[in-house]
Amino acid sequence: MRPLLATALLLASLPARGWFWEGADPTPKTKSLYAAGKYNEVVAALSPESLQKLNRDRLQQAYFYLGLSYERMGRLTEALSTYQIATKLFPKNINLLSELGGILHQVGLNEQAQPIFEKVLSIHPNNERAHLGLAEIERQLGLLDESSDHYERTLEINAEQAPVWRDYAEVLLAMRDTKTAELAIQKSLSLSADNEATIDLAFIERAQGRLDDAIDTLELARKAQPGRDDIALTMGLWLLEAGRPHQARDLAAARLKADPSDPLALWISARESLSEGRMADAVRSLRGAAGAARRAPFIAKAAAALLVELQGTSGGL
Amino acid sequence: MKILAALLALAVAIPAAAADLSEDAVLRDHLWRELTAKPATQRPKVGLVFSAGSLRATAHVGVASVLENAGFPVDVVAGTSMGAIMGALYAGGTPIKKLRDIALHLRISSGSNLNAFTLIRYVLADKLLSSAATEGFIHAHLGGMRFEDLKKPFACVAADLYSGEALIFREGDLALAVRASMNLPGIFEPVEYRHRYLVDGGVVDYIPIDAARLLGADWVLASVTESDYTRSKPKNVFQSLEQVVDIRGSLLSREQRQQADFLIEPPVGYIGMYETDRTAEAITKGAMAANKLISKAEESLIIFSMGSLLKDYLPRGSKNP
Repeated sequence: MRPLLATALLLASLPARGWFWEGADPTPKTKSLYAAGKYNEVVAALSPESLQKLNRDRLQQAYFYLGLSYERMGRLTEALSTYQIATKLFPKNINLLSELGGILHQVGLNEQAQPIFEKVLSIHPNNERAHLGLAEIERQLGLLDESSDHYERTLEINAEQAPVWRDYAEVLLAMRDTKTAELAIQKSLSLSADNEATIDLAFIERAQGRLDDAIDTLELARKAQPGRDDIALTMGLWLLEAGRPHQARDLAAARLKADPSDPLALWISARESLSEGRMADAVRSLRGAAGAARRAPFIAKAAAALLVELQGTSGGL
Repeated sequence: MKILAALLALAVAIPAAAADLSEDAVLRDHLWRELTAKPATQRPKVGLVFSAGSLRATAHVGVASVLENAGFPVDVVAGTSMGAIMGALYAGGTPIKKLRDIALHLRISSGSNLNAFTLIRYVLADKLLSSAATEGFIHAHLGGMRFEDLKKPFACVAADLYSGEALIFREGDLALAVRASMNLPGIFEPVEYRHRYLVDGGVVDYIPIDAARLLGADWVLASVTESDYTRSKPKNVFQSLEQVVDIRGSLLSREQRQQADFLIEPPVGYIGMYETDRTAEAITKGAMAANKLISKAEESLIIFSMGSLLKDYLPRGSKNP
């Protein structure tokens, strides 16, 4: 009741009706609150009552900062409602539309997000958020040509975004354009030394047929994050591809020491045993991998299929 | 609203896209690389089959684009009706971008002599239209290639009205065969060929998996663009014919889909036989459907090929399985 009382007293002390349009306009204040990361205070300042008192231009801005603040606070339902109301009131406001598209895309409602981003681009063809949103949606849908076009437009508008360069490189890699993919990932790495980008670079080098370079690059990523078993086991598979089964075995053995039932490590171990003609060891490892259907269904299937094929060999089982 | 709330709650936990290093994904990637690096003669022969489906079958272009991006080995191709046109162009080495462009510019007149005069003649004098333009269309895009000249072995299917048999073409005059394969009965006059009277293969072989097997395919991926005929209410003779052909195709495809090793079914059943303005939509739906299943398709082929992979795993001199 205290804030209400205070507001009532304040209102009574003000002579002019125009106060609400100027001095009490919350947008300049909310801008600074938002910039300071005080999202709770933005939400408090932009109560439904205060929104009703704003003129059209400032109301658009208020909705924008309110939605953003909800987003930053992780209150996505409220953010979504805010943008939905706001875009009904202001259907051509590209900031509100692109935020609405962004939040729908964020939660996977791409079929609803896509036409919103397209509408934004029909109003403002250089809207970065809409290009990026469409690039990501099209990538998820497998429309790689369209996706790469939108990534390009995004990067033409703002070339300083390392994660976007990385995503663009991944799309190019999926399209088998490894030359451009390498340029894009190098650009990403020049902007930010992200280990995920280093891993992508390794995949690109491997796709280019430069397996030894790829292994060296992946080794850099492994050293940067020595606790990551996924990188180590990926390296194990690549070492098998490079005809270096003993090194692959060592990586698998290290993993199996920590987790004797790791299906991928068991697969690598089986492959090394096969290459050395130790069929009984291979079969033992494959049986272990074949039993891991819950953890890694494909590895389990592949191991079972390999066991069946091995039954046809003279000394297989 | 509850679902939306759940999605919103999950959203913050969704990580940014990055290389998938989950154990299943890296092994699939590794085995796929091993499999696709093998010479074609040392792995199973892969067949790609394009079903009939009139303009819905342009969705096959979207499917083909995803397969190409994935580096999917395609050794032989088979198609029926519009699937035969798309299949012939694909087997002839037409790049996907060009194939997409061709599909986007398809018109009813691309494969027929349809005009005001022939339409009046069709209605008043019971004179069927001609599909001879289909031959010109194939010649225009493949420069007079015969089956033997195609980059990949190809087969297409027509139906013989005399015997009711399916006739599988795999050599000789390509344009004539493709024309026969998509020669819609009741609209186009049958194609006379070696004492046979040929109409659209879709009425006897909607998903020509048998044709791909005849070309030697060990493992077959079929793209199926069946109609959802339950949604339409025919209002004229064309639409009624379309409905009958679609129902027949649907009944056939129920059995035929069992013979495929892997199916991709773009959800284009709602697109009508003559809706040329929806080909872009069909292509997109094809790509989306294929994209959803591409990893599973790779896994299926890998498992099928395990015998040939094993040969590389054993020390030299081992007895082959």
